Amino acid sequence: MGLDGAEVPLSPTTLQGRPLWRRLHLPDRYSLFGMAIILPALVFFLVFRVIPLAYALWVSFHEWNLIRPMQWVGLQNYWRAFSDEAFLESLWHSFLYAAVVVAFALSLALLVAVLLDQKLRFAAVYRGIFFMPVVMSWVVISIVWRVMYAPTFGLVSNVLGWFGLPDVPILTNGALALFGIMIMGTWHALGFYMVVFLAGLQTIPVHLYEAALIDGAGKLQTFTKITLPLLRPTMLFAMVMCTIDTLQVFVQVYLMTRGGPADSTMVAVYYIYRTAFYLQEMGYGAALGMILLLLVLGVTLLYLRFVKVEAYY
Amino acid sequence: MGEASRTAARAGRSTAGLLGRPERWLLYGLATMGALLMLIPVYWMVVTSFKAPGDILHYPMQWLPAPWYLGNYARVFEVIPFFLYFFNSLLVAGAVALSNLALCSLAGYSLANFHYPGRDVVFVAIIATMMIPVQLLFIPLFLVVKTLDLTNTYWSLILPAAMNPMAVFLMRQGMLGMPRELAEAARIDGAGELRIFLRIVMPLMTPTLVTLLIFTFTWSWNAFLWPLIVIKSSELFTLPLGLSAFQDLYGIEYGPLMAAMTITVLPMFIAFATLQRYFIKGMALTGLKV
Repeated sequence: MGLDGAEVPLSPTTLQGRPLWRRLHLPDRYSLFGMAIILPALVFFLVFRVIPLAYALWVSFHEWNLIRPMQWVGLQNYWRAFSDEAFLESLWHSFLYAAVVVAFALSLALLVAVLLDQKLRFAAVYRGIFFMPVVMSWVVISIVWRVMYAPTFGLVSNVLGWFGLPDVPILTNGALALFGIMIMGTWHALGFYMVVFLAGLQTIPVHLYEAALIDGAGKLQTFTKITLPLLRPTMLFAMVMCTIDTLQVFVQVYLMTRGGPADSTMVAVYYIYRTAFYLQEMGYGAALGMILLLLVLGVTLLYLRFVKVEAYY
Repeated sequence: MGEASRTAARAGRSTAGLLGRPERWLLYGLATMGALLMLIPVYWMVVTSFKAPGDILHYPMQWLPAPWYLGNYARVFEVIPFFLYFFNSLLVAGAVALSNLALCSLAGYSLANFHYPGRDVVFVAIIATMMIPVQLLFIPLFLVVKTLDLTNTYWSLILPAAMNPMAVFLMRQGMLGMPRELAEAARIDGAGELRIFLRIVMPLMTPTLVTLLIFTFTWSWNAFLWPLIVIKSSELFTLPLGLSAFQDLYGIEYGPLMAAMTITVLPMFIAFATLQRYFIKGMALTGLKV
């Protein structure tokens, strides 16, 4: 992570020697401009991210139903979470969803990206088609897939019928509902990461491929020895983004199954949302949110560490 | 790196020319099959929107509407104030996208090109908040918006989304890879910093700006949960809220539902198709690293 990518540019003040206020380590006019232009963004950042986050942390140590005054309960909400089986199960569903969608969406996205990188004619058209789901609203996607999954007249029922298979109502079947939502999630995420990988493929220096060609390396060998290793930073980026994104799964579930049947698709964010906004247990909801946040942070750090270590083999 | 030289080099790198005819056919076959699979839900949505009520529930399904029925579209405009929702969505997403472009390009420029105390702290804080699931902030965010007395207004949809940390990150990464010579030359010629930013830096960043525009506009256009929490009156509904309400009220009327959704996604498809050239380039320029 190059924090120090910026260089001190040549500014009029440095050209004219070091004035007194410069020797006092006060920022010069040039740096002042830099500080001034980040201020508007910082104000929004403080009001709509930092303050809410701090406030959520504060609330998580309280019992609060929005009506009666907040009551300090210390770590009680956090202890309660660890013995809340419904919450632990919702966490399990979220992680399962994330693991499956990250694995399938990223490997398919890589496959498609490599395919479209082969100078196919109409590549832009193919790219556009694979990217389509990304610009669609989750509301639209959820409703369309719900109707596709509908028994008897739905598309999936029809396809099952062609093969003489029994008509299975996917979203009302406890064993299949989450699986159905995973397929939809993979379909949605694929296009975005295809673009990420396409962009990553462009950063691989051409002369490496030429050298491989001259040395008589096969296509598969070129792929595993050059493309994959050099795509590692892109892969890391994709894995982090996709994991963060999929662990937040919520709207689809809310619109398609409301967590059912029998809580089989109850995911963590939905459970938190329900705790806070339906049961009005703000304090407990905030504590659950903090726990999920720490888990997401933990997974991200794990990736960073894991991939960094691997890169030095 | 010059864009022209990079593209020229890429044209030479592909091994496609060495592929035999059967291999090319295999590639096209695979790509086409994948594309068709991806299109199924979109196809289902569009085709259902043109089917008469009786034909939708038909088993086995009809691949194409027979006859093509336009009544669903008429029904959409009859049942919900579609243009109002469309206008609300456009207003909110437009404002969000523009404010992100302004705020985040300034912030990204600052983080990438200037040195001042606290800069790295700010950058790390911004990266850290990228990892926070926004839904988790909704409880306190709602209370903040309530304190500011903004609930149930356009502002409650625009202001919390006006600065996206992800957008700042993308801008900063893009700005790091920007050639500095032009800005330096202008600076030596005595151009003001603001002028340099507007006249030299911003034009150089066009692909990244387009990427940002697409991202932030799409996020806002598609947002559902936050509007659901803060918006109560239906005259302020954005399209996703309108669609969800439509589903709750007329959930059985699949035809009009699909018609409404088709009109909702159409502008996004057109916008992306028009801008995708810049978009891919912009993604590549941001470096895509964590």
